[in-house]
Amino acid sequence: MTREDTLVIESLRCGRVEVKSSALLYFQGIPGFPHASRFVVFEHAAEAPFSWLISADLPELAFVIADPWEFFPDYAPQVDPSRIEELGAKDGDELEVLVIVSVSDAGEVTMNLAAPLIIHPHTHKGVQVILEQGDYSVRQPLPKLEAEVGDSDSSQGQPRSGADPNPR
Amino acid sequence: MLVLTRKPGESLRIGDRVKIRVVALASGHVRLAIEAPDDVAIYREEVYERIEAANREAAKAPSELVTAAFQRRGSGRRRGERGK
Repeated sequence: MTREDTLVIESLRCGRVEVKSSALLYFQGIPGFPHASRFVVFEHAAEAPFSWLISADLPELAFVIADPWEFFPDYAPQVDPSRIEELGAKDGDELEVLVIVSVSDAGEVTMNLAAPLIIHPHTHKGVQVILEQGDYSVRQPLPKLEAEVGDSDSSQGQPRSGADPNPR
Repeated sequence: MLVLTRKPGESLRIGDRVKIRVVALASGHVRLAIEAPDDVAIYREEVYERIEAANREAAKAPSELVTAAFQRRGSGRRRGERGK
């Protein structure tokens, strides 16, 4: 590998991060941040359910992201087929889905289930889509930690009372 | 900013690919028909603004609280399983 393949990001959140250029994700449309298009996923720790999505364009910008199904097994985002094709995918199953996590000043952790990030793992194109259906919350509190202790196979595929997203 | 007047049935073009037609006016509402390519996302302004606000808020979460949240949730979780 030559030096040109490596990109150094001086992230305010994560410090100096070196990544392969091939790891870059190209986002179109992160509402609120029109000038940030190149991002990389940076693992905080192997065991953590959260990662960072660091902007390669704006060093001050980084989002905490998570796999929504880690917390909401019944999450079923309905993404418009045209948005899926736009990323170079034929089917939504080819795409990775991540959601942006927010931590309030009071320390409350919420997820934006209303506007997931969808990413094509091969083309590396991504977009934040705004779901018109499903009535998912922009600030969905995480399920209680106690509930996670009992998280077993019995919960798969069944509606769980605790997993219902609150209406906005 | 460009401001112009249209009657019901009349249209606007934005560039070569977007056409907006005024369909009807009724009791303080304007009904619009929008023709745009699939790669042009169309959202109601208030919906878009809500996501903008959420993104800005997420981006400025205090680092120490984020670290605390990472640690609180940091053990016993599996990765890569998806209950679609």
